[in-house]
Amino acid sequence: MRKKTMGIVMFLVFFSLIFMGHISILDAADPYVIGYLTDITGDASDNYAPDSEGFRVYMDLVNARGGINGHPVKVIIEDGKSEPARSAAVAKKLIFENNVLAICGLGFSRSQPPVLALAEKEGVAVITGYTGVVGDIYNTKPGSISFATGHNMHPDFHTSAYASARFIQAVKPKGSTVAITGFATPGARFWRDLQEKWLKGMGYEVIYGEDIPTNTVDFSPWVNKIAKISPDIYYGIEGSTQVIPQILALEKMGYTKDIMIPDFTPEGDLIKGMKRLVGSGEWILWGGRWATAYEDIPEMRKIKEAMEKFGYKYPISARHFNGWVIGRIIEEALTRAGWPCSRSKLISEIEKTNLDTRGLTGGPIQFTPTDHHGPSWWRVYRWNAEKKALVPAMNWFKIEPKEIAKKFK
Amino acid sequence: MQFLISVIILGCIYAVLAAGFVVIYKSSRILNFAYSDMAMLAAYLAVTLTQLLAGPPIIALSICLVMGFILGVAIYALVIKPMAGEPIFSTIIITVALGIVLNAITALGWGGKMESIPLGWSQYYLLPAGIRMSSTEFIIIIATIVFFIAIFAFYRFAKIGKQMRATAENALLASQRGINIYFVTAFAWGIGFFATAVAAVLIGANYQVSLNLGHVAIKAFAVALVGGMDSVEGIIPAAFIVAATELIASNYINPRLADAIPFIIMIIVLLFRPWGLLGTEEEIERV
Repeated sequence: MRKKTMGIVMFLVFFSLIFMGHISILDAADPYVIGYLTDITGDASDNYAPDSEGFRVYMDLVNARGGINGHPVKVIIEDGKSEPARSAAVAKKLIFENNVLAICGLGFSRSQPPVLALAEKEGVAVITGYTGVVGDIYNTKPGSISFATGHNMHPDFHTSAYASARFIQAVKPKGSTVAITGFATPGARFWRDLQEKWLKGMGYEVIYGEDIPTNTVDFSPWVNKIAKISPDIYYGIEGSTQVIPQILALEKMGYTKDIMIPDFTPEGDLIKGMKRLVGSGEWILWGGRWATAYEDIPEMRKIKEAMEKFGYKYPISARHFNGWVIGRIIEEALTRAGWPCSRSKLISEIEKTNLDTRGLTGGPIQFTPTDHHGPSWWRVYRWNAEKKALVPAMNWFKIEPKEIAKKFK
Repeated sequence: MQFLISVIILGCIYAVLAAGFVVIYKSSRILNFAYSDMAMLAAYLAVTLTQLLAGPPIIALSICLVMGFILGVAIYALVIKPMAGEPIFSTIIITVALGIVLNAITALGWGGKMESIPLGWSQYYLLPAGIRMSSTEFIIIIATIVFFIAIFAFYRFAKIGKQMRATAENALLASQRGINIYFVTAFAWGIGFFATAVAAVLIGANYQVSLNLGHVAIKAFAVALVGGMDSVEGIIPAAFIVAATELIASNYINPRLADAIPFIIMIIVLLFRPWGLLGTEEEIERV
């Protein structure tokens, strides 16, 4: 009898130990789940696919260091294929099936409205590198879920439109003529319209403005017109698959005046384009919120090392910087939130962000409960054929959201 | 005049693209909806080969065209031939599925990266009347002329070309006369993919290689229908009509109309002449 009782006790102790061990193993292995919704394929893939790589590489590094608060970070990368319906469907999967704490990426303006609407309903933070045509990033109200680390295309305070007008001001004298084309997307359309307004206010003449459908392959209709009217500077708000062929076609047409493009054309693509030019390409300007992969920044070297360690598909670019920085924001917020972390807790921790990007941007990225965008720093670069690199054409300048919004009114 | 050059270049590209579509249809009666994805795959293959192989790009590009031919034959042997005797509708659906698979393979393999195909000659020329042309555009015109001379000569003089014509006209009779119709059709698929690869190389050299390349390739379908699905001769006027109207719309009306124009032309032609400009009326009855 005693033997039997002892056996039962031993059995219970054994199972309790296994059970407790199991719990503790589970506890240690339970990950923070973060979704990254981007466009690995589709019309906007050249802009946004490298972002996801920067984020993934950073999270691989975090996990290799032992995770956050003793927990690994599980990153679920989904391809929205630059299609709003598909993006909404995968966002639904991330939110309801994968129970993600936050969604990052989501660069394509056309895909943002359905995803942000769903995320807002479910209280899931969305940190985008390209926010946003909707939402209240600036003048944020309680319950807002969207944050922005890159360009901003909000109709009320469009930092990109203002910054790109300032870029032109930095390289062209007052009274110069300007042509602007843009992706036929809501964000680019706002951009083109508002940039035109800013430029007119600054004393420039916008003599041509047109949308280009995202799936265009033959750009001769636009290029022939631009070459014919020959503006002093041409600004193209498109991704590299659109902008590079235009640069080449314009050179063929004899147009080698300044051409300016935003920093969402990855530098690797720019290099490929430069190699196809017959001339020096020194008329190409590239600018935005991020430094370039040509600059000798220690943080950039870290990204490069991590990419070499964990594997990569795309050449290092400012797009990687964006993904990397979003990764750092998530890491810091999760560290502060502790374990377990809820969606609302994560949002309130992201709202405390004051991140030194270590030279990847002109200043820190700051979020507060009433401002999910914060101040931003901007700079434009010019291609230097001798150095085979983009070199700064101006110093960083700061944009305060409130300042811009006031000017809009 | 510059507008005319744009029409000629776009027309040449559409013509070569549509040739691949028509050659396949002519011999196998299959509307190949995998066509645009085949073009994209061929373009990325050309990119990889030019990056891997040293020396003049012509070597890598020739290998790519040969690989295109082999792939065409392989697709026929593995996917299309087993469907012989089955309803044609099922085979057409298979080409849709094949397109999705090829698209996925390309996206996975190359990640949708923007690339270009070097032709080894990069220069711009200022011609009389203020016309500007690039070396690539000269190559496109020359390649298109050579391609069509070769394809007409092939159908007219080569034994297998004549067999392909016979098979196209009446497969049963051709097989009763001792023609191996499977071999002939496989060969046609090879030529079809070869033509696709030629067009893909020209597009990749003149514009760029990306996952968007399929958007231009899909216009081959409209060109083929306008010219007549069974008519290689019909492709040339159809390609230039489609290119001219598309560029007129984008230059003088609204660029956003450009993509719709080939299909508007297609609808108009099909309403008044369902067999296409130079297609045969009997062909439509058979379809």
